[in-house]
This record gives sequence, structure tokens and C-alpha cells, in this order.
Amino acid sequence: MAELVLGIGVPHTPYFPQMVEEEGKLSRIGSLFRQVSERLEAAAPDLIVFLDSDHLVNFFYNNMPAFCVGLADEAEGPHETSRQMPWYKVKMNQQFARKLLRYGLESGYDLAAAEELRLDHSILVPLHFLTPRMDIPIVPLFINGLAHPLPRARRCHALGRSLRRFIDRWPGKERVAVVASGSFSLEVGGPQMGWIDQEWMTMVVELIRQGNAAELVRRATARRMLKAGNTGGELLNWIALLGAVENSSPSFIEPDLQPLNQPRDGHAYAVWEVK
Amino acid sequence: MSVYFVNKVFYTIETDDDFLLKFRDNADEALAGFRLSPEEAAAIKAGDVETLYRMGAHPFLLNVLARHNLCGVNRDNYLARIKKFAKKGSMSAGSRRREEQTGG
Repeated sequence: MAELVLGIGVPHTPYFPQMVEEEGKLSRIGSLFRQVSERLEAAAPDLIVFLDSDHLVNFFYNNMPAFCVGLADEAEGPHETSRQMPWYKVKMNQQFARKLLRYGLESGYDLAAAEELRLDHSILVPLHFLTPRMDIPIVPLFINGLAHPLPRARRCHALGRSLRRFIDRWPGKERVAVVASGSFSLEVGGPQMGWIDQEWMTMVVELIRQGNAAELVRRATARRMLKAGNTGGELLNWIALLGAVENSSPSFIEPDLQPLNQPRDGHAYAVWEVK
Repeated sequence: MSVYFVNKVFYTIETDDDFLLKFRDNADEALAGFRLSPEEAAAIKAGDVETLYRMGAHPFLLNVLARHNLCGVNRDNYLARIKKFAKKGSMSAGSRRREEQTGG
């Protein structure tokens, strides 16, 4: 039977690959990703399920799914014309994805499906650092965290639990990692740029540390997440991940700190080593 | 008019290299395929970040003007103009409008 071996939460800032290229692997961001990628190498997964919010690249307001499974055999990107990182081709496990779609629909989650995908930096920045050889197939499960109205946190958490049940029942022998991509407090292109909601950031990190999904879900309303910045809804990916790891505490969660212990980006890096 | 087509212009710039070139080369021609009101088309061509934000353009998309140095917008002047809407610690007017429009 398949087995969930690892949960990961990371940010995906578009300029990180270039920054680490310039500042070196021992730089702050390089080291934070290294802490995570070492755990990934040790866990040796052969499939990565990606909980991600499309950045208005693959989906647009003409057709905006709350939840969508990617069913392609492979996909490329990042498709943004403003990309600042290498172009990658990524393999996908279509068989797993199709069964996940069916399982979701049969258990009450009205998932959309996409047979052709244009990947953006929110998947490819994490992969650039975690699996630079792009040798582990992925299955993207998109959660709308950026184009309001958003799905409810409670629903995202339940979807994560359902994903875990599916992994546990999947007859393949895959060792599965689930990666949640996103920030807790960050504004992109809007008036609050440069401002971090430290109160929210601190509380979210603490609730995740405790595995207190019930409290996090209660607090993570669309309005509250938006107040923390227009990427705030990406927290929904982490909330779904908490469902998948059955609200366990992470082996570590590291808010991105500056020397004076001030959160800089509203980001965190976390790993769950699932026993 | 809905802000939909304004967003669609920016979305297309950010996801279609050919359209980006076309827009740089001749914005009027590039915009002809979108159902924009005269005010919307004028605001895009003038790089009028404030008006476009007030209309409800998604900041992720509006920001492409700065990322690609289009219509007189660059990172520095974009930041200065969008910051006018900042209201620390509470939801900005623009986000409120976007939320109202989408029922979020």
C-alpha cells in the first residue's frame, strides 16, 4: 500500500532561485530550503502531491475552480513572462491523479480536473530547491487561495484529510510526500507591500506548531487572511496539509526570521516526518 | 463594464510572450480584442495605477505593468502610487471593493 512519509510547508517567492544563486547555498534562504530538502532526500518519496494556489497563470476568472486536480503526464513552466528562474519540465503521475479525482467526487468533494497545465512559480520554486533534478513525479491539487471568493478553511482541512485517506488506500507502493506551498502574510502588488502582519504570523506558526487545526480553521476566515496580505489565502494549502498529517505537530517549523527576530516575509518552513 | 477585461489584459501580458511584444509595440492594436470601456482602455494606456486599482484590478495582475516597465510604470513609481491606498492594519479600500464585487 502507498504510504504518506512526509509533509512539507514552504514559501515560493519568485526571486528566491536567483537570490540563492547569487548569495550561495549557505545564505539564509538557501539554508532554510536545505533543511527541508535534506528531510525530503532522507524520506525518499517517489510521488509528491502539491497543495498549491495557482497565481492567475493556469486559471483565470473565466474559469476559476475552488479545487482542481492536474491530470497531465507532464507540465512545464514557469509560464509567467516575468519569470526569474530556469524553465523546467516536470513529470506527473496521471494514474494517481485520476483516481484521486474519482475518490474526491465519490466522497463529496466536487473537484475540477485539468488535463493540460501551465505551471507557475508557486510549484516550480519549491521544486527548484527540493528536487532540482525534477526526478520525482508530482500530482498538483490546486486550492484557490488568491482569487476571492475562496473556499472555506474547514473545507480545505477536510479535503486534506480525504487526501490522506486516499493515499492510505492507494494500492500502489509509492512513498508519498505532500507539499503545501504558500505564505501566511505577504502583499504582492497591493498597498500593504512591505508590511507583515506579525500578530497573525506568530499565531499561525504557533497553532501549526501545536497541530491545533481546529483553532486555526476557526480563525482563518477569508477576511482575516486577506487582512494579512493579498497572498494570505495561501494558508489554505497549509491547512489542507494539516488535515493530511492528521493535525500532528511538525518535526520543525521555522518562521523566516531576521536577526532582530522580526518576521521578514511572513513565510515559514516546516517538515512533518510521518511515522 | 466589469473589471474582468482589465484583468484579462494583464493576465494575457503575464502569460503570453507574443502578446507582451504586441502590447509593447502597439497598445491600441493589442487592446482591440478586449471589451474595454473607453475609461478602462485609457487608464491602461496611461499606466494609471490608481484608477485601475480603484476599478478593482487584482494587484497580482496590475503589478505586471511594473514588472515589465509598461505604459510608464516601473517598480519605484508603482510602489509609490499603490501605497497611497495603504491603511495599516486594516483592509484597504481596494481590497474591500474587490471583496464586495466577488462576494468574498
